[in-house]
Amino acid sequence: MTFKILMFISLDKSIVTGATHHFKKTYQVNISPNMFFKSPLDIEIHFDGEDSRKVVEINNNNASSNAKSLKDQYPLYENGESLSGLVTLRVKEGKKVDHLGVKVNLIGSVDIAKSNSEYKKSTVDTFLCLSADLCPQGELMHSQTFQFSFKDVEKRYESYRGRNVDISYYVKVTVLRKSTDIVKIKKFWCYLYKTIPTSGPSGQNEDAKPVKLDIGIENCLHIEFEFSKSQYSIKDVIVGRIYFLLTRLKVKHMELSLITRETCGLEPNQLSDSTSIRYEIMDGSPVKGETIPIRLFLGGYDLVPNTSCNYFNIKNYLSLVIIDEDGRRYFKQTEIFLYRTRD
Amino acid sequence: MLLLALSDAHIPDREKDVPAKFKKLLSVPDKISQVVLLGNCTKSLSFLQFVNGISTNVVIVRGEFDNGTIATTKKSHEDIPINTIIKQGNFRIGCCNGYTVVPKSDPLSLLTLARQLDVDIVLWGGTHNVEAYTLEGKFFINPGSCTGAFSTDWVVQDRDLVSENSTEAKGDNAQEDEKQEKGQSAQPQQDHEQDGKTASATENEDNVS
Amino acid sequence: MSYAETIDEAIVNCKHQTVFMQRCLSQNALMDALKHTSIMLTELRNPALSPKQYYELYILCFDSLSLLSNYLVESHPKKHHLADLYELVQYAGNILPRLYLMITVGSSYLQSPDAPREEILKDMIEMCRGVQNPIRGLFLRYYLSQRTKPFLDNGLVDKKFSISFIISNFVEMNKLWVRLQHQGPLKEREQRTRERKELQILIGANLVRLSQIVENDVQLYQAEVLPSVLEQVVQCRDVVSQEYLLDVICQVFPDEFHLVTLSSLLDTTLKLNPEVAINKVVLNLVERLNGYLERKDGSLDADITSKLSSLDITDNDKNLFFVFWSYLNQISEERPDVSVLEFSPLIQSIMRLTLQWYPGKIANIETLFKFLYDKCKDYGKALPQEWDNRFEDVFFSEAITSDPEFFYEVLTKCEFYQKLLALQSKTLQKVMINKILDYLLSHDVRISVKAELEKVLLICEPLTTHQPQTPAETQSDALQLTANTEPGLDDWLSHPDQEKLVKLVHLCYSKSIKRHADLLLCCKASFHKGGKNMRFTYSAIICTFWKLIRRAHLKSIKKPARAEKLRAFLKQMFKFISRCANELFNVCGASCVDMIYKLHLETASLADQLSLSEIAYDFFTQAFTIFEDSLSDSRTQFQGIVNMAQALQKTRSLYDDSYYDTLITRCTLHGSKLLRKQDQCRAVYLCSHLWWATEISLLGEEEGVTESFFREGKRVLECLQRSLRVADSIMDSVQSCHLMIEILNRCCYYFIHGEEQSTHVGTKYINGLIELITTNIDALKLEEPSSENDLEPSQALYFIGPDGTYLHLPSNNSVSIVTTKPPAITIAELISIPTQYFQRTLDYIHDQKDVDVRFKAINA
Repeated sequence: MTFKILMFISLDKSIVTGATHHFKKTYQVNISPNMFFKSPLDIEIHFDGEDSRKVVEINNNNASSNAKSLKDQYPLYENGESLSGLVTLRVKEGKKVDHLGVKVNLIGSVDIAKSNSEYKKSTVDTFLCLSADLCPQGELMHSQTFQFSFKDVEKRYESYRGRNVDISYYVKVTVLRKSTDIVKIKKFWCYLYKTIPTSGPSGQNEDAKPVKLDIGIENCLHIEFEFSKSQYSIKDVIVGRIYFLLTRLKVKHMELSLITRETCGLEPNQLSDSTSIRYEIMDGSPVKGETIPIRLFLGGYDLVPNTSCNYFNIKNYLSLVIIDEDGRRYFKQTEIFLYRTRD
Repeated sequence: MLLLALSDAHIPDREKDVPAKFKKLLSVPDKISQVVLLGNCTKSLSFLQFVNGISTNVVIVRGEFDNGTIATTKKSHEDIPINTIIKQGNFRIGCCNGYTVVPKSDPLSLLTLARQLDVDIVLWGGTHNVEAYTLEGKFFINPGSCTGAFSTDWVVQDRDLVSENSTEAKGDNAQEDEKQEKGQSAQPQQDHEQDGKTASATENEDNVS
Repeated sequence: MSYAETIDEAIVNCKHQTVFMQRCLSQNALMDALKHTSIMLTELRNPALSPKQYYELYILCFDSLSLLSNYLVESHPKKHHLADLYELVQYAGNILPRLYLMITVGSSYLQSPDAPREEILKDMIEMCRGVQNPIRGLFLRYYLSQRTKPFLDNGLVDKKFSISFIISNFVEMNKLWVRLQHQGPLKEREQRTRERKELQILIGANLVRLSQIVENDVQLYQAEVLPSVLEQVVQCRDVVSQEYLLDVICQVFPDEFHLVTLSSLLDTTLKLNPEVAINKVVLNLVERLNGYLERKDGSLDADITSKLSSLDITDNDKNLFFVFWSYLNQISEERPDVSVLEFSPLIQSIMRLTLQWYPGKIANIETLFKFLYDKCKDYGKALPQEWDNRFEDVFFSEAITSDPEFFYEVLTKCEFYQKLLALQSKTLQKVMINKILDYLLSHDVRISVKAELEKVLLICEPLTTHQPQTPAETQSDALQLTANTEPGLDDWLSHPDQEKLVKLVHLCYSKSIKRHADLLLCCKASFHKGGKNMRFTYSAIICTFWKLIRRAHLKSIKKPARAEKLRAFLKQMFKFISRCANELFNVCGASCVDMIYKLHLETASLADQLSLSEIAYDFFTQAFTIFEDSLSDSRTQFQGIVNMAQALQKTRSLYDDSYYDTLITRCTLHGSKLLRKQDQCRAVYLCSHLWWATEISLLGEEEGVTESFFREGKRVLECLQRSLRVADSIMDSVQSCHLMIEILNRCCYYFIHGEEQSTHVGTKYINGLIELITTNIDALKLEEPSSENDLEPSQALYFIGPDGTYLHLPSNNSVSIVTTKPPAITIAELISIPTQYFQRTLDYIHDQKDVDVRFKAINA
């Protein structure tokens, strides 16, 4: 079952959700020009077919106060896809701009905040940097448009915006000058699609096998936690059950959480957990022998596939939380692997 | 003012109870102000309870099969007299079972008794036959047996033949019929007093008014 | 988002959210509508609500969700697809609102013809497991049940699927319901139980649903429905639940079903929690089966018979009763903890059942009594007194007492009825026997077979032999004439048991005189065991023999062919009477001689009427023997003589062989030898009548017509003279005088009766007597010195009765006071007694002059 409109119905303050509204509308990308300098030249980047391209809406957690919206929207590209477009250099009326040449770069970078407290992230690795010259040294008298094209660009990582780490892709147009260069960047987003695991080799079978966890507190609680597999597409449904072998605990309710953990840096690791989903799956205290069904649709949430590179990794954990009548929480986490598939 | 005279119940020796119809007829509370038991009525607790239910004002005289005494709420050991007199208005009523009257049920003997006790009405029992007549200006009433109990007195030979016939004819119900008949025959006394058809009852009613 | 603190706020909130929701729906803003709905549903998460409050809230939510559902159905698939919505609502973070929404959407989707109905239903019911809180879970599942009802009923879904759906919902609900009992602190258990009972309808509704779906498919019920339901009943092991569910099962499914599945129902009761009152459960079942018969007009028609044959009993003789009977045995074996006491109501209900189904089948009843008997025996000890009440019900259960004939059959045919009774406490036995006797008497049950009578007597044996309880127990304050507590022995009133026992004699009847006599002898044999109690019981036997004798006599006249035999037997019966009297005398002796004496007199009279002069003579003689040997009290003696005289005066058969002469002479002689002179005087003047037979009109005798009267006027006069001599010799002049007036009255009697030459009582004699009395009265007045003025009689009246007692009729009382001794009154008043009596006599003589000219010769 698929559906086009997703809505999260939030019901309880205690449940923090990372869900967002998605609308299948194409928005005009609107990146505001740099207003701090009275730039003599406006650079405009336009990707080919941008109007019809899928966009991704990302939480703007830079928390920059001047951001108009909490969401940023970026056109979406995938690995190996070519990116082409037009760069328009618009000279202000009656002015002329001398330059040392105009070039365009396609850059992929890893940006990491130095510490948890510091917000500003800096690039630690530029794993992708393609370059092309648009125009040799000269003088711009009036507006001029250039074409650019990067063919079959390999994008190693998926775009990511986390607490301490970002992976960003952007096109950067630089008008080289003797004085300050005039630069314009335009971000785009990249998804890496995993091919849907095909049946066959043993590895695939491993994933398809149900995961069983036997957990408990001695003489107090003993449950079997079972779910269908360990690897899920991010639009998948987690199906499982919880079997109560022993319950002396007065359970108030039980939740399932999905936790995304971002690890980066060297020792000591900068860890950042964020709860992507909190989902109540049981109300009341079951007796021995009860089986509680689990069904969690992931599709409505913004989830991040597992990612890992030299500088950081992102992992996903499924966490079962039992809250007893006295408010104590008991939980068990287990890693699950999330990947992105083409819809 | 109604006075009920009952005699010769002979419960439980000869009969087991007062006929149900009769009982029903009498079970009207506060209707009858005095009951006279004219002998052979004191051996059954249930009967006495029934009588008490009719009226708490009960006068007893002794029959030959009664004990000499009876327990009452006033006295645990009260003598039962052979003769007694009760007064209703201007009338005096003499009561006896008649088992000491010789010759038995003889009108002249009863008249003698009436004279000796100076009463206007004589209620007597012991014969199990209903009788009512006036003699020398006095009124004599025998209510018969209220249960239709067996009597060892002489019986009409012819009538008994008839009754035996009906016994044969009706088979199993014979006993009942006999009882009914006697039960009913015991009733007129009650009826008379109620309807005021007889001299005594009329007089009684006059007295009250 | 949280729930309100009070129920009132919650209600207000629900109403508000409903309004918002409706507004959103009218604007087709479904998402917002859902948001309001879920806010409303959050109220149902409140754990502080009582079941009643929760129900109230639930109803509000239900109505509200119905509005939503209508919208969803109408807008599908134009504005949205319900399949999508079904997934959408899954994102609700809280489970309870999520599931309510899911069920609302799911059930709306079910209405769409292309919906995968079974899948949706399965999914919904599976997801409901997430709510484990009893109250919330119960209502949620009830909601599921309500919402899905139309689809399960109308055949849109496979019937079997529907059934398994409802059953699994039922099972889960029941589990939750049971769990509710164990919530909260232990001390609130009772309150929990109360709350549970408030909620029971939610669970029971499932069974109602099942019965609607099953309709009349017995096979389906037997194979699928009942086993699953019963399994849950057994498994839950909860008393409240088991009792309730079995009751509902009995109520909601058709009678026929129960008939077919009886065995499994009964088996189930064996597996219940030991605290469950099996009685109650079985009682319901029995009521149901009995009701079935009534609804079927009480006939075992072919339909039922075929249903019965489907019970897993093959033998034709075995039937519904057999099923229950085996069941009883099974309980007895498997549940030794079930006490005799608990069995008793069970037995009663089965009794009712068997009588309804197999009316008059006495063997079944006997079997049940035997069962109880065995149980009581196994109990080993004396049965506790507290059980009495229960057993009272068993012995007198409505089932067996509703028809007198049948009850009689039970009494006489069921051996174990009596045996079981005999095992009970003495008190209970007596209570029961009294009840049984009352019953037999009030229903006029007729006993005509000896064997049956023996059975009844056997049942009553504790009463015949047992010494009566203390009289105090029988006393009742309301009664003016209460039981006598005193010397006790003689008083009938203190033995109401015996009175009932005696009445048993009157229930005996046989058309055959001989067999009737047999019955009496049978009673006699039984009563003989009562020892002193015979004084209560024997006279009834004698009296009944009298009746029988007269019956035999009349029959002998009517059927001359058999007359000889009858007369022979009739004489035999006099011997029985004599035997009875002797036994009574031997055992009870002095305590009832007076009665024996009088019984002899009556028997003698009866014999005389049948012209059995020898027998009559014999009984009179025996009466004399008793009089001489045993009657000692002087007043009793006096009355005995008078009574004898009265009896003798009416005899007619004794004239031959001079029996009469012998007897009356002896009687008069005894009279003249009485201790007290006044008694002598009275006895003798009364004995004068023995020589003056009067008409017995019943025999056709008539004064003046009949010539054969036994009359000897000379003897009459002798008696009167003798009596006058005694009167004259009495020192108490008042008494002496009074007696003379009595004799004067007696003289008047004879004077009226005949001419002087026959009565020998003539004018001269009477005049002489009047003169004597006048003289004596004048002498009396001399004794009283005070002036005659005072003689004016007071309001109070005094008389002397014919037995010598003083009657005092006070002015303020309507009943005379009777005493044997002279009352404490003034001599004047005392003297007025004979004076006035004399005056009355003279007045009478005076009056007679108008009627009878002969009286004119008397100087009055």
